[in-house]
Amino acid sequence: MKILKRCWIVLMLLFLGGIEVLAQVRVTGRVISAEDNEPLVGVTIQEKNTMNGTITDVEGNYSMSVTSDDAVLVFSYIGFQSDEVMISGRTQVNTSLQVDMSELAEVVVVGYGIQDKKDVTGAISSIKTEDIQNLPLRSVDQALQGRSAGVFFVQSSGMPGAGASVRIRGGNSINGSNEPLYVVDGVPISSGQGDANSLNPLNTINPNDIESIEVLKDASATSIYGSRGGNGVVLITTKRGKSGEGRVSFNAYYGFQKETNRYDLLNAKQFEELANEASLADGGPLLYDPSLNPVSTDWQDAMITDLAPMSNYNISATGGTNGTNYLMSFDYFNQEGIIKTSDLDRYSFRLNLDKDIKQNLKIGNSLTASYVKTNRANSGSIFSMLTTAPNLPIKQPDGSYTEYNNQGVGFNNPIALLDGYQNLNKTFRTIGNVYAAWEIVEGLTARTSWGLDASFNKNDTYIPQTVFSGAQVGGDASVFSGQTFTWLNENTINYKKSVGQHSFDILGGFTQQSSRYEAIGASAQGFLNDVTGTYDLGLGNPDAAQLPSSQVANWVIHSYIARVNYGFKDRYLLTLTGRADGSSRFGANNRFGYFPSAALAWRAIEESFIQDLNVFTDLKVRASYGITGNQDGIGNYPSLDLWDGTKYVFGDRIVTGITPSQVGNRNLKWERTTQADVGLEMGFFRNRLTFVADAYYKETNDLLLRVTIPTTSGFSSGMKNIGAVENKGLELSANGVIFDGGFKWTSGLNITFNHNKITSLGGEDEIIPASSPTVLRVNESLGTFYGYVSDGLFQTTEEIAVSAQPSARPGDVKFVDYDENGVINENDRRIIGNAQPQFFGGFNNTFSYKGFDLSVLLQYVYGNDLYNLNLRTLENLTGLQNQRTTVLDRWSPENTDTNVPRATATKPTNVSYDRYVEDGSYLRVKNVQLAYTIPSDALSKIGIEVMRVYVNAQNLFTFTNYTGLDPEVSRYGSDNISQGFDSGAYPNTKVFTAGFNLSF
Amino acid sequence: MKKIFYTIITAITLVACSDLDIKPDGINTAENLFETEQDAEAAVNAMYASMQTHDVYNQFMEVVQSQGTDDAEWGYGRNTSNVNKLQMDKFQFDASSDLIYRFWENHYKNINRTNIVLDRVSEMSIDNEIKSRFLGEAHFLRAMMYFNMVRLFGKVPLVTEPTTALEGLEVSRTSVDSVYQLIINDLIVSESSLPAQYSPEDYGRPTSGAATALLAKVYLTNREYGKAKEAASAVMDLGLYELWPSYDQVFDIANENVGESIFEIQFVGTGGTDASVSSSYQGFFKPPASVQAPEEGGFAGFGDNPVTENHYNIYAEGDERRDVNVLYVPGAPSSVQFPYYVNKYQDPQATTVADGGNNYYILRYADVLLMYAEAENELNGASVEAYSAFNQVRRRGFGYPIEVASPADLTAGLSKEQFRDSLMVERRREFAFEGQRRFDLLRWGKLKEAMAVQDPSIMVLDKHVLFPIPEQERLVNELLDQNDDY
Repeated sequence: MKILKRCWIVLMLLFLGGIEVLAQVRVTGRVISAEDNEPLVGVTIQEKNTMNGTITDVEGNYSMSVTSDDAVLVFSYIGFQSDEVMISGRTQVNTSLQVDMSELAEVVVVGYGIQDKKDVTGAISSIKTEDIQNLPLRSVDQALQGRSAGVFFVQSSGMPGAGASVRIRGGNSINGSNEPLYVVDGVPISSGQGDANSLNPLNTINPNDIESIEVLKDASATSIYGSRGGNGVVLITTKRGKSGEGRVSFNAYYGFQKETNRYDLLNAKQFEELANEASLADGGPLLYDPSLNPVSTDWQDAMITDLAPMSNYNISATGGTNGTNYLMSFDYFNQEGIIKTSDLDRYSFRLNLDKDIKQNLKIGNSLTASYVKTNRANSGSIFSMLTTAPNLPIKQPDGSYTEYNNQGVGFNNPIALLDGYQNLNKTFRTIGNVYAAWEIVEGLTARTSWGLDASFNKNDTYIPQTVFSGAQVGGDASVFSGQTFTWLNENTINYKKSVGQHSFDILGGFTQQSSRYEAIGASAQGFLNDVTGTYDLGLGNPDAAQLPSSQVANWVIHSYIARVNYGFKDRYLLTLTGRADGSSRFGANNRFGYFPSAALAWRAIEESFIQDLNVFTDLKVRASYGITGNQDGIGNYPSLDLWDGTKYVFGDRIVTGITPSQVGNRNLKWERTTQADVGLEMGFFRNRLTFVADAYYKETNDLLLRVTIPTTSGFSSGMKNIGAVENKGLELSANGVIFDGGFKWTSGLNITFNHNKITSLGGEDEIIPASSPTVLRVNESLGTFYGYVSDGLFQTTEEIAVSAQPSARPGDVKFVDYDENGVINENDRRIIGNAQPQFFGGFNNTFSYKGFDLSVLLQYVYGNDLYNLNLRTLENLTGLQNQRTTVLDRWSPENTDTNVPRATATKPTNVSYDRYVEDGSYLRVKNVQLAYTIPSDALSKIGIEVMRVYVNAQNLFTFTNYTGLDPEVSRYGSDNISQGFDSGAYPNTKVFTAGFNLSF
Repeated sequence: MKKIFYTIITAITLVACSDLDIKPDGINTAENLFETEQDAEAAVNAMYASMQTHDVYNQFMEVVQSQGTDDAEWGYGRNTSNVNKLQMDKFQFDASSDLIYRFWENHYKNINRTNIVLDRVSEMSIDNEIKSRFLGEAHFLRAMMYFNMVRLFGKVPLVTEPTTALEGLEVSRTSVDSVYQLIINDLIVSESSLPAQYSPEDYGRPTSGAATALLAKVYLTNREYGKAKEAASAVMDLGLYELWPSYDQVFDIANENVGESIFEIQFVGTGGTDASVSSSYQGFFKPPASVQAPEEGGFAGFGDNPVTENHYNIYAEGDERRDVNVLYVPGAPSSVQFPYYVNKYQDPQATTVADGGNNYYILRYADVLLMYAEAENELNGASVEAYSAFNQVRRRGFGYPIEVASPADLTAGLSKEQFRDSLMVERRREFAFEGQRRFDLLRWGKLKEAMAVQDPSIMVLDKHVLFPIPEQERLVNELLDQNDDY
C-alpha cells in the first residue's frame, strides 16, 4: 500500500513541481485524520485563488510558499471534507480533516421514493447531471450510451429527431416492446417505439433539466413497476430548487455536424460500362455508346451539407426562501440535418415548485411543456441518393427536374424531393404532476399525486408537382393530427421507523393510469400549384377527393403496490416488493397479474472482521429474485375479435364490406420475466477506487408472439402467449481517482456481457419471418441473420454442370448445397450472422488541471454483425441502379480472382446471402470535451459566480471494419426480430460544438 | 392512529375513476354485428374485396395466365427485378415463391369470408328472399375460389367452416374429386338462389346465369361434356346475353356488366385516390416512357406482362382482335427485343398507372359459345351446332356480322381433331390476357407443348402442371403434403 501511495506522491509532485512562483511566505504543517489522528498522505494544499499548491508526504507533513501572510489554504482529500484555513500570519498550520459522510450518504431515486445508496438492495446505475453536462444530446436516452453498464443503446440513424433503441440487460420479447419504461418525475410516459424514420418520443424532454437518471435493472428495483417493469425502468428526475439565494444560469453552445462517412459510388462512365456489360451478358444490346464521356452527377454531394449547424440556449433560475423552492428554465435547441432541408427545433420550459404550507404538509409540482418541430427527410430519397444512376442529370436542359430514369420509368428525383417535399411534424407535449405529502405522525407520510402526459401532434406531408409521383396526381397533400392524453393518480403511504437495531421502511399504495389516443387524418390531391401545400386541402381536385380517417384507442391500468425495507444492525438488509396490475389490454380470464420480488443485502463493511482487514472502504453483497412483466407493443385490444372495413365496387359505386381483421385470444396475458441477480459492491482507498459487479439471469415466458398460422384459416397470423427467451450476463464497472490534487484524473470503465437465447417457440423449432432475412430458432439468439452461404463464384461451365445451380453462368455466386439434393432451395439456408454483441461498454476519463477539464468517453461494441441491406442494391450488378465501387472488381473472364459476381441484367442476385453480413464491432471516441473554468475572483467583481467555456466533439473517431456508413445503425429501430439492419440510413454525424456556462 | 390509517387506505382505493373493462370505440366486434340486413350485406360485400387485390385478380392472375404461359414473358430488356415473375415465366418457380403463397393466402382469405356469410347470415332473421340471395352469392364465390385452386394446385384443403379460434387450424388436403363435388354443389345452390339480373347499382354480383356458365366450365374441365353442353346451352337459351357487334366494344368501360358480360371483377377509377378499387392493368401493361413517350399530360406505364412474338403471330390477316389485344411499337429502342405490349385494357380517364376503371372478365358470352362448341365437338364431332357457335365468335373477331356467313368462317368439314385445334387457337385469340390461357392449356393438357413452341429454352417439367404447395404454409401446417417432385 505504502509503495503505491509513494508513487502517487512522486507523480503528483512532478505535476506540481513547476508551480511555485512569486512565493513570499513559507508555511509548513501536518494534516491528520480527525477520525483516528493518523497522518493523511497525499492531501492537496492549495492557496486559494492562486495556482500555488503542494501535497503532504508520507508523514502527513507539507511545506509551501504562499503569496501573503493573510493567505487562505484549501486542504482537500478524497473521502474527506475539504477545509479552508486562514494562515493569519502563522508559519505553521496544522489541521485535521473530517471524514466526508456525504459520499456514503448519497441517495438514489428508486420507484416511488428515494433511498440511501448504502441501503439499496437492487441493481441500479445512476447518471448525474455533471456526467452529461454540456453534451450535445439530442434526446435524453443518448445519455445512457457508454455510461451505464447493462444498457445497450443504438441510435437508429443520424436524422434530426430519429428514434433509438435501448435494451437493458438484453431483449426479452420477440413481438412486444423491448424498450424500458421511462418515468419522468414519477409519471410513467409513453415512449413508443421508433424505427429509423420515426421520431423519438423522448425528444420532448429537455436534457438540460435533468438532475439524475437512474436505470433500474434487477427485479428488486423494477417489480414495483409490475407489468411494465420487465424491460427495465429509466427514472428521470429533473432539477429542483434548493433553499438559498437565487441563482441564474445561462448555458449556450453552437456547433456543426459533419457526416461520419460516405459511400464510394461509380461515376457515369463506370456505370455505363457496367450497364453495357450487364445487357450484353444477357444477349441484349449495347445500352450506352462506349466512346462517349458522360457527365457524372454526384447525388450524395448534391444532397449532403458539409457542415450543418446545431445549437442550444438554456436559461434557468433557481432558489428558495421561506419554505418555497423554485426552478424555472427555458431552453431552445436547434439541429439542422446534414441532409438538406431536414431539421429539428425544440422549445421547452419547466417550472418545478415545492412549498411547505404547514409544518407537516408539503405541496409541489413538476411541469414541463415543450414544442418540437421536426422536418424529416424523405426516407426514400436517402436510398435513391445512393442508387440513382450517375449518368442522369439533376435537371433537364429546360430547368425541370429529371423525372424518368434510363429505362423510361418515372422516379422521384431525390433532389426534387429535397427541394419540394415536406414531412413536417409538430408536437406539443406537457408532462407534469402535482403532489401533496402529509406527515401524519413522525415517520408516517401519506402522499397523493395527480399527473398527466398530454401530447398533441400534427404531421404535414406534401409531395410537390416537381417530383414524379407528385406530378402524377397534381401534388399530394396529407395532414394527420393525433392527441394522446394520459392521466395518472398515485396514492401512497410510507412509514419509516427505527427500533433499536431494527429499521423499517414500508410503502403501500394504489395507482391508476388511463390513456386515450385520438387522431384524424385527411388528404387531397390535384392542386393548382404547390403554393398552398398542406394548408388548404379544400383547394384539391374534388373528383379526386379521399375520405378522411380517424382513430381512437385507449387503455387503463389499476395497480396496488407494496414494499418493505427492513434493516438489521445496519448490515442485513431485506427488501420485499410487490405489485398487482390490472390491465384493460388482456382478456377477462387474465385481467390481473402479480409481480413480487425479494432481495437481500449484506453490508459486510459494517462487520468488524472486514474492517480489520484494512482493505475495504465499502463492501456489500446483494442478491435478488423476482418477477416483472411486459404488456407493450401488442396493440390495445389483442384479446378481442376485431372487424375491419373493406371496399368493393358494384356498378361503379364503391361499397363497404366488413370482415374480421383479427381473431381474438381471450386467454392472452402478460409476458412474464423472472430475474435473479447477484451483485457485489466494493470500495478501496476511502472509496477512491470502487467496483460494482452484477451477474444476472432472466427468463421471459409466455411471450406475446405473433405466430404464423395456416392461411387456410383466412388469417395469416395470431397473437399467442407462447415461447420463452433467456438473457444472462455480467456487468462490471470500476471507477477510480487515479490522480488527485492539482492534476486530477478520474476514470470509469464499464463492460457488459449479455447472452441472449430463445428457449422455446411454443413447440416449433423455428419461425422464419416473412419480413426480413432472419430466423427465430430455439437455442439461438434473437437477431439471427439467415440466408444462403456462398462458396465463391462459378468459374467454368464444367463446374456448373456438376453443381446444384445448372442454370448459373460463370461469374455467378455459387451457393453451398447443404442437403446435397442437387437444388439450391430454402433448405440450404443457414445462420449467417447475429446482431447481438458479445460485449459492450464505455471508458470515461476526466483530467483536470488548473481550471482545465478534459473528458474523453470511449464507447465500444464487440462481436455483433450488421446486415447491410443497401448492398443488395448497391452490388446487384444489373446496371439499373448505381453501385458501390467494389463492383469495379466484378467477375469477368479476364478478372476471375474475385468474389464480386458478374454483371447481368436479368438474373437478380438479391437473395439473402452471407456477403451482406459484416462485422459490426466498433470502438468510438464518443465524446471529447475540453473546458476551462475562469477563476472566480476575476469574475466575482462583475457579479459572475461561475464562467466556464468549452469545446466538445462527439463521434470524433470510429474504429471499425464495417464497410457501410456507420456501425451504429438500426433500420427497424427497436424491432427485436429485425435487429442490426442498415438500409437507406440517414448518415450519422460527428458533432463539434463550442459553448459556455455562466451563473450569477 | 389506526383509525386514520384505515381511513386513508379506504379513501385511496375508492377513488378509482377509470374502468378496466374497455369497450373499444371506433371498432366493430362480433357482438354488435349480424343484427340487421345492412350488417349481412356488409359481410357479403367483404367476400369480393380480396379478389380485387393485386394478389388475385388485379395482377397475379394475369402473371399466372399470361407470363406463366406462351402469351407473355419477362426479360429481354423489359424486366424489373421481380424474381417471382421471372420464375413464373421461366418455369423455375418452387415452393418458396411468394407470388404463389400470396395467391393461395388470398383465395383462402376469401373462402373464410364466404364461410362466415354461410355460417352467420343463415342464422339471421332477415327477409328470406334477400337472405337466399346473400347465401347464393357466398356459394358462388366459394365455388369460384375453389375452382381456381383445384385447377392450379390439384388437391387442396377443403375448409367450409369459418375460423373462430387460433387453435386446431391444421387441415390436410382433400381429393380433387371432393373439391369438385363441393364446387358443383355450391354452384347448383347458387344457380337456384341467385336472381337472373340485378338493378344497375348491384351490377357485379353473380346472377343465376353466371352460376350456370361457371358450372359449364367446371363440367368441361372435368370432361363431363354432356353436362357442359347442357349448361352452356341453358345460358344461351336465357336470351339475356349477346355478343357485342365489334370486338373492341367488349372492352369499352361504358359497356361493362351488360350485353356480353356474364361475370366480371369490378374496378373503378378514382382519380388515383384509392388504388385499392382500381385496376392496375391499363397502366402496368402500357409501355414505359423509354419505349413510348406518354402523351402530353399523360403517364407512362411499366411495360408489364410483355407479349410474346409467338402470341402476336397467331392472328390471321384481317383479325381485328390482334390490334385490340396487342400494341406493337416498331420504334422501340433496340434494347427491347420484342416490342409487343398488352393493349386490351384502355382507360382514357385514368390519371395514374393504378387508376384503371377496367373490369376483369371472369365469364362472357363468347366464352359460353366456345365452351358449347368445345363440348359439342367432343360429344358429336364438328357438328353444325359446334360450327354455328364457333363462327359467331370468329365473325365478330373479323368485323363481320355475327349471324351471316362470312369469308372468315371456319373451313367446313373439319374432323373432330381439326376442329379442336382450331378452337384452341380461337380461344387464345379471343381471350388473350383475360385470365383464361393457363386454365385452357391445363384443360387440354397442352401446357408443356405450348411452351416448347414459344421458347424451347424454357424447361417445363411434368411437375410444373401444378403449383407447389407454398413452403411457408407447410411450415405451419404439418398435415399438408407436397405435390410431386417439388
